[in-house]
Amino acid sequence: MRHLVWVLVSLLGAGALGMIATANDETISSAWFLVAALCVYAIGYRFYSAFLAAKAFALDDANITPAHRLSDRRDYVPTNKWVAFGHHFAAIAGPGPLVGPILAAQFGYLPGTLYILIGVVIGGAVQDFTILVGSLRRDGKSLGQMIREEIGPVGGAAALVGVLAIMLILIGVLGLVVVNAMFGSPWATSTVAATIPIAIAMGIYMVRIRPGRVLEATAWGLALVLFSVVAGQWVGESAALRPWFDLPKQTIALAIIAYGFTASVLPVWLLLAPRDYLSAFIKIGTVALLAAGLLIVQPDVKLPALTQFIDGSGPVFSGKLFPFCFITIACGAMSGFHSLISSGTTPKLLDKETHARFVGYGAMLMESFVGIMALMSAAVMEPGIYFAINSPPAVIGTTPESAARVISSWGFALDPLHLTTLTQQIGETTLLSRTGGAPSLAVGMAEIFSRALGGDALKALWYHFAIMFEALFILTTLDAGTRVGRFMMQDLLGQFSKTLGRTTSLTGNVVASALIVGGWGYFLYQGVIDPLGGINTLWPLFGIANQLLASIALTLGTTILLKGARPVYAICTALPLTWLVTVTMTAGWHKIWNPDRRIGFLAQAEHLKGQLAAGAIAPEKIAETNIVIFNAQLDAVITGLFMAIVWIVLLDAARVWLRTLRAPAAAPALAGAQS
Amino acid sequence: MRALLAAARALRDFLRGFIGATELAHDAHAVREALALRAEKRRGCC
Repeated sequence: MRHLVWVLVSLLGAGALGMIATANDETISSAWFLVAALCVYAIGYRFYSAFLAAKAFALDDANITPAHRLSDRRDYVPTNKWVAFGHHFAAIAGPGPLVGPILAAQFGYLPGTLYILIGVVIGGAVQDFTILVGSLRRDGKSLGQMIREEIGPVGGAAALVGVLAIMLILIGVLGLVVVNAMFGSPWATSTVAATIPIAIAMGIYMVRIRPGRVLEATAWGLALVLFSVVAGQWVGESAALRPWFDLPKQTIALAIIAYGFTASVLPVWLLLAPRDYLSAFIKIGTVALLAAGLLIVQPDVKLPALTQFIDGSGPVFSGKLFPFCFITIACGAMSGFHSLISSGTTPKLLDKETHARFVGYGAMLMESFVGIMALMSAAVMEPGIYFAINSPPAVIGTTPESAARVISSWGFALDPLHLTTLTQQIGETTLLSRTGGAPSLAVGMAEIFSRALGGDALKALWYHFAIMFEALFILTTLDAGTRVGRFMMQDLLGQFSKTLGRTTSLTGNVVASALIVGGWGYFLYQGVIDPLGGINTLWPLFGIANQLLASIALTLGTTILLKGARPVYAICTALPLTWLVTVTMTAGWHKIWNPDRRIGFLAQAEHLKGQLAAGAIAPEKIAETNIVIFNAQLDAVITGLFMAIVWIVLLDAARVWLRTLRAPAAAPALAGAQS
Repeated sequence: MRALLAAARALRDFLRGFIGATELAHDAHAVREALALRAEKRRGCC
């Protein structure tokens, strides 16, 4: 009977995938995507993760977990399986799976869907699971510590530099997505700004006024946040208030930089913890709402399976399907960032060793499902509207008419009147060139939500609710990431000065926070002033950085498995590693050397230098152009640095692999200390 | 019925982990205690 159920699940999944892959010019219901995804996840979890758990890792509850062995009721705490799952999912669920699939939708829905489903089952979830088990059997050690111990000090040092640099790029790019979402939208800006004083008031209430009364603070905190969503409309319409929140991009960027610094320096209970806590409700509530909306409305997918932009001429970002689709999707399929969580708090919480499968592999499948839903939000939009929102003004002009002309020439119908009506319906002044992914996701979500509840009358409210959700989602990663980065920086600074290394020292706190915020703030500001649109330049850099970190994690995973009792199963991590190294090294090479200036950093720098030399740049723009030239060269160097770091770790690991294979009788490493 | 109850309990625990309310309450108490201790020390009573 049980076998029959799995045969039926397999047939249903295969049928749904068949529908998706063969529905060339016909419309297809989004329900097929959800069915395909759920079936693929069910099969991947039931069979592949069980195979990994039993054969590759030989998980055994007789092995006592660090949460019991080193229990300190602070960091090491045996935790209920579901609570650990919720904690792990909250930590890995960043905005990557929301934004990446939206941007990759320019290639059509098919490449993104297939990569999210296949990538997660045989790559992303395997990485998270392997690193979690590896850390679980090494007292909850961090990725850097494990690389140092399993591969060597050179690989360990390279990984440390890589992790820090990647965090700076990641936070800077996510900040840029928020800037693009809030620019020209005083409604969204005022709503997001309101969450900061609300969070501070909650923090003071829970600590000073009514200590520990979380439920009370939650009730009025959430009510105030929802009120601020409604009140944002009045701000947008008020002649007196609007100028305070209708800000230029540079000002929004500086405000986000100031927020990141403040959240890192202030006590965690005052701003960061209550704001992230408040965001958690909005995050999980909205994701659940989106899933319910898709299930109820089951809108038709309007985006074609493939667009002509697979040739690299896409307006959203430049570059061919291979490799750029795969580094753009990023977190929905594979994310190096997750390896930091899998070797951070989660291994210190697991009650039993077998829970690693559910938490490590299972949470990544859930993250991937968020990616599929984000992709659906873009795919159910009229393609013309999608490209109008996501193409820069240099390509489609600045009026609905010019956009309609250009986008229609690509074969996607766009009625300027429809665009204007939609813009009015969602309460914005313009939807043209609102790049970055966040506004188009919000439009897609508003479309789905309003069809389920409220119709066109509530579309504006849903749109701004979605924008607030995205901004909160991103700011949570930004403030928590900055604080984690601050601790890493203080660890480094502590080598030179004891004061700077002490987390209780105000000087150390301010100096380390300033260094971290200065680092990502530089990339954020660079993106804001980039003439090609920062997303075009920086999202691929973020994708490359994140996927290179995943390569480092999979290198460690392969090393751990090779050194273990069953080295043959190292193939499970070696395969996705080979794919990732191929994709990211190809993408990195293109980003540095491609002669097309929309792709290659150096080509862009050379082009601008030529324009400067030819006197084609207006005098007032010369200083800014020089900065852009410097930034393009800096980005080329950073990409090269990332690639070099991965090669150092890989070659260092290859040395260990060879040594291990020549001496197969080496002690099983994955079995860990307790067995 | 038993399966429904188990599912509801699992959802509650998942949300507990996702939202982190327990840790927040724990932190709030810890901060409150630390602040009270500091105030007492400042007053010189301990």
